[in-house]
Amino acid sequence: MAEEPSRTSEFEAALAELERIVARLDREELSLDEALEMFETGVSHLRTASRLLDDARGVVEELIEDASGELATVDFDLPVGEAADGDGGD
Amino acid sequence: MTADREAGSTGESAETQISLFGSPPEDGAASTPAGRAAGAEDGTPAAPTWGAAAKSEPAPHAALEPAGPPGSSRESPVSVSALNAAARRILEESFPSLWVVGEVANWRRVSSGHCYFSLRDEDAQIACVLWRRDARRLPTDPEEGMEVLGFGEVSLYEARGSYQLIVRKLEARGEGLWRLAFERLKRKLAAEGLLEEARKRPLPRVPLRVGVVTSRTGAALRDVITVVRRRAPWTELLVSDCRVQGEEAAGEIVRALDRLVRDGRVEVIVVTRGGGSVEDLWCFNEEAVARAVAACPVPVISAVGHEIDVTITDLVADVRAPTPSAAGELVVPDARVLRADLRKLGDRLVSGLRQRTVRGEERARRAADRLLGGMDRRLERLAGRLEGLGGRLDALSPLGTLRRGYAVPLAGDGRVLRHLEDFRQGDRFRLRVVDGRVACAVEGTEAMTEEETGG
Repeated sequence: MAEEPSRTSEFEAALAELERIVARLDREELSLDEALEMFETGVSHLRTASRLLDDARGVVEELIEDASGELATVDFDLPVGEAADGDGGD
Repeated sequence: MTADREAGSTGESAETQISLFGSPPEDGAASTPAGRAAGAEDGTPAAPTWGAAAKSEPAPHAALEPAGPPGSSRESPVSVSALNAAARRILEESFPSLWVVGEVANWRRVSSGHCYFSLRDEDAQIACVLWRRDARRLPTDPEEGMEVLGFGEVSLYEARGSYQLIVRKLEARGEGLWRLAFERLKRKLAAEGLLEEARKRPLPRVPLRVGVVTSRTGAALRDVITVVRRRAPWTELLVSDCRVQGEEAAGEIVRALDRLVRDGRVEVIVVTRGGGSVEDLWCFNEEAVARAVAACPVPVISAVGHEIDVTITDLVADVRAPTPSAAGELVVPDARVLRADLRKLGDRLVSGLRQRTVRGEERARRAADRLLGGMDRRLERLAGRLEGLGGRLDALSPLGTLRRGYAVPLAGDGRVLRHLEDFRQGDRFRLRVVDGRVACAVEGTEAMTEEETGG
């Protein structure tokens, strides 16, 4: 469980780094050497961000709690029949 | 009561009095002068209506006692208790449940939870009681002088002999009481600073796991799932089920939020339900829900009801969405936009790199132009064909060029050494290769012909 949020922060961090690098490349005077290294880092961040999106499972699960307060995650299937009634109520 | 009473109304008669203390018939529809003055319109069709017994029929009830009924003489007085009990019975049996309009006066909610007050107009008033069970459903206490509608039964409090209305439902005109409760809670939370813009947290740009607090069977959940799947199919949704209307709803919403908080995996939570009446949506105006949302450690998007319905939960949440679908749109980015953004960043990496290397000292610029010119064109062609990211970006990279075996000679100050004239015997320089730098020294130089350089 604990690694999951870090996956998102990894994504956000990669994106933020990438933007920082692009901004530096735009603004700062860099030697070719430095520019190349920044480029290389940027590409690696880009690849990280892209991979994180491709890896996520995109499932729908339900978080339930038993009588003792233990949490559990179970598959959730949208109850199509009920929802399709579309009473709009809740 | 009975046809007898109707008959009795034409004049004082012992018979009328007597019947009050006898066993009242169960089938008789009541009729009183007061009753005709009011209209009972509430949905209790089975209740007897006033005046229904006006057509006199032979009295079916117990015969009068020839010896003289209680209270008919000094010798047979009725007790106060008996009188009040009888009067109460007459009142209760005579009036169906009814709506009464009046202004609230002297409202008191006692520690037991019961509420005591009066309803009055210019000329009259009636004592009212609202028992705890019914008082619990009030969104808030009415204000003094507020015009309200009370629905309930006429009765008599025997211990005091006071005539009263036992109110089951109390409503202000329109949405008055709900509006009042809303404004009161809003003021209270505002005073604590819970509604301030400064408290609103930014939503994560690309949450990979989203919590949804709503009814697992509701249309709102279906809408959120549909939109999130369409926009950001990688997103994992974690549903925390709760009722979203009724008396238990507020507690369940708080617990559903708490489950997600304890679980700790989601980065943002959508609290939602579809449209409904003010009463249906009321749980989202309850203080406990507002406080749970305010205390939530991750940002909360609230989408309750339709566009026009604004709840306290909406005000406390970090972001309010007008509908459940809109919440889906707000909570995740559109995949196409996100991937386009990533692609744009990739393009800017390439162009940024090119600009950095061509700016600066004129000589270095010219040198870089010539060195990188061919590579640039190649990069642009590749960029034009670029559809995805990841591995394909390698092709864009000057590092890719280096990887294919090209090297860039650099002077000590980082200038690119392009021309023969840049190299003098014995000069030291570096070669940038794909995975590092090589220290070099010039041993000798040799010019090439036009043919060899490819013109």
